[in-house]
Amino acid sequence: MGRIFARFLSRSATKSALKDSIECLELGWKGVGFGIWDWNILTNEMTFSDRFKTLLGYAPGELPQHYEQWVKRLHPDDKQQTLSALQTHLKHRKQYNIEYRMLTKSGQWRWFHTTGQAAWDKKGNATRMVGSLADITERKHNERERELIMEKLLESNTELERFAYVASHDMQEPIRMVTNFSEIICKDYNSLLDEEGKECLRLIADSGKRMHSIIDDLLDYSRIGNEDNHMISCDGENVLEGALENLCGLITSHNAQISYDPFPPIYGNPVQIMRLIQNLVANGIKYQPSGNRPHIHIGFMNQPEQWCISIRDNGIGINEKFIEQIFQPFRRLHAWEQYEGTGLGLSICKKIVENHGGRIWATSAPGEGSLFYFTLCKPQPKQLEAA
Amino acid sequence: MENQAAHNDASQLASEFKEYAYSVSHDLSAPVRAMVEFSKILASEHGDIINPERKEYLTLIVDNGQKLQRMMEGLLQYSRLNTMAKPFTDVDVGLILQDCKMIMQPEILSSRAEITIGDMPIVYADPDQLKQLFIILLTNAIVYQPEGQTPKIEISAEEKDAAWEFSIADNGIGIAPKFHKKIFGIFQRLHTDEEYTGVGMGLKLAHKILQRHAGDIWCESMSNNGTVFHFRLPISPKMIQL
Amino acid sequence: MTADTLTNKKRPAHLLVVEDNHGDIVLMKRAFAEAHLSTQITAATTGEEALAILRKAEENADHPMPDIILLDLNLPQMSGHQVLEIVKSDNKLKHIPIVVFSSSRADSDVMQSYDLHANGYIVKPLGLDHFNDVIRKLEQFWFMLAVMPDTHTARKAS
Repeated sequence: MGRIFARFLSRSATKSALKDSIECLELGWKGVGFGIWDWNILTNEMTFSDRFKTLLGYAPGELPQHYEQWVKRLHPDDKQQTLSALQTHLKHRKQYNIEYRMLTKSGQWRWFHTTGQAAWDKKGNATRMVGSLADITERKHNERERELIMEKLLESNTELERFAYVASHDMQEPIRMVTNFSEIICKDYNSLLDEEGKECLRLIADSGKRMHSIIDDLLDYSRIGNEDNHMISCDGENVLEGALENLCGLITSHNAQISYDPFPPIYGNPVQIMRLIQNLVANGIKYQPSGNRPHIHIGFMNQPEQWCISIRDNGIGINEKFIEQIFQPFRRLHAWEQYEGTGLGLSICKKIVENHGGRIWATSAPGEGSLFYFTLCKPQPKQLEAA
Repeated sequence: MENQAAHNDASQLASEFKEYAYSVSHDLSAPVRAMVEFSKILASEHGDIINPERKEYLTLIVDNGQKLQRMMEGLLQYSRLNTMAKPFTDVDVGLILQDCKMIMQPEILSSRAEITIGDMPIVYADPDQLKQLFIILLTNAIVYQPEGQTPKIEISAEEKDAAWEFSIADNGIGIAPKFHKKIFGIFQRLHTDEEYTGVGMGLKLAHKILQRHAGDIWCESMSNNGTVFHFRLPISPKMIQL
Repeated sequence: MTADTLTNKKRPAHLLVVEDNHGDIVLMKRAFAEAHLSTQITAATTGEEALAILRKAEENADHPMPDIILLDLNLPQMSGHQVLEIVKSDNKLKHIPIVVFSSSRADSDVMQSYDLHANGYIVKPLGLDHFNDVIRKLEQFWFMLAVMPDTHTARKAS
């Protein structure tokens, strides 16, 4: 825009040509709805185009052609900023491109966007300036509304997470009490209890264990992104091995066979990534048809911008129509009695992956096992050095 | 268009709350129920084998199981504030309070509580949540009393600064000023279960309800000097539907 | 009367437990009952109660001063951190080792405890066996290994 104004300035040097020129300029932009202003810096006369006057609610003859007419209509909160930007353009030739509020004829405040370009004499003094005016009130209101919604959203989001965290944490206490004391009774009085009594204890302990799992996952879910989020460059194989070590009980009890491709260095939060791999491998081991030996392969693909890690299993598979839902919190496809699971494992995975700026998805079919993919950023060269 | 995206995010959040409520109610309540029921059976039918000084082990199991149930109920109520929120309408507060008194008949009778209600206005609010709010505040006023004292509760309303300011004053044990903020936390309590039963969720719920109504709640109190809970309901609240 | 490990002092250890959860107090009493050294446990369910017990011990020789304090953070009124701060700034009480025993693993809780001069921080274990194991280890360190001041001298010094 500045260049167009500059060319215009150099052509319309005489005063008489001035007014005609402004109208010509404006005609060219009539469709766009800008107003134009032309400021003679030496005399402080300011010519306003008809469109300019209309934007402020004035008829063609109504607004006196003076710089002060513009200044006195500026909103007190925007005035200083605007005038200072103007001065910066005149003195240091920095681009003049600014938003501010002006008072209309009817006493309303509306938002406007202005650009402008000055001309300087041989001594470097600014002599004249021409610019545009556009009404952006609509856009500003939408922006503000969106800001408010985002604020509320962020507040609610944080609130939900904090809530889930505190609630889950506090619920651990009574569960711990019940579990510990039923264990004590079991230890001290097992010989004295009859079958029904022993059964009661067993059911109490089982319930406790189940609740503990769910709440543990709830806690994990609400922790991610809130606690301990530092990212470093880490040895991929170490992280992978750590995850498998944590699962060694499950691997042994299900006689699972795990294989994996060589892993490169990765950039992220090692604890979270370990948890991510752990959850996916655990699912591959758990969701198996009865009697089937779990085979899990963890693959790795070098893609141009990222690493892509895959986890393949030979389990029960997932129906295509649920393949996206499974990443939602508390979404389960089976009853607890069939396969133990809290419905949070995959949503925790998704949260971790997104926390690392990656993507997670799956392909599968019932009876044909599943393939889970997730992407991770490659470490930058200087991140590698830091390791 | 961008606002649409924000609204979509908002409804996704609302559905996350729903899912959380589903999990808490469905996945957790079954094992909690099992825990409570079986521990009761254990205590009543097999408790005699346990010598008297260890009897408390059984009580601890049953009590904690029930505490967990109450905590979960509190959580569920909290998530329902989001998922079962109703649109606002004109509500006669006087009628709401009559409803509350009816619902709380047992507690009022057993404590012999005296409740005086001043002139009540018509407000623009969610009727169910307003009822829930009053029940929470009235319940607290009745429960947190010195041993043997008859609860005396006064409810009044005053128009102030484009809002209705309600006051619920009681003659109970009071709250020291340093705890005035703590009481609004989740599962935060100022007493042990042996002193007064409670989960520590009520005021958190109350606060959330007022938030939704673009209002405010605070308390005025000193130890042993009774308590007044105030809350403000703007006369025409502008709420962003979340 | 000299400084020595609690085990060698040939008297019961005095333990003050500040904990609002009755179940946890029962678990601790049970676990300490198995200890080699006979342990007398006084329980306070609020911070205020704990401070009252400590003041009484200061003034009255009949009430023994605790050798060690196990402190929960999540208390009904005054918080565990506030109790910690008060005790550790009282010249007559600050010598008593305070081990925070809390279910919170939060960084801020841990840091604040050590900032207020806690002598240790232990996260309450979930399972029963773990719990007993933790108490055993506390016993090994604080009763058998660490040398404690002669409380008689400590009182006179202040």
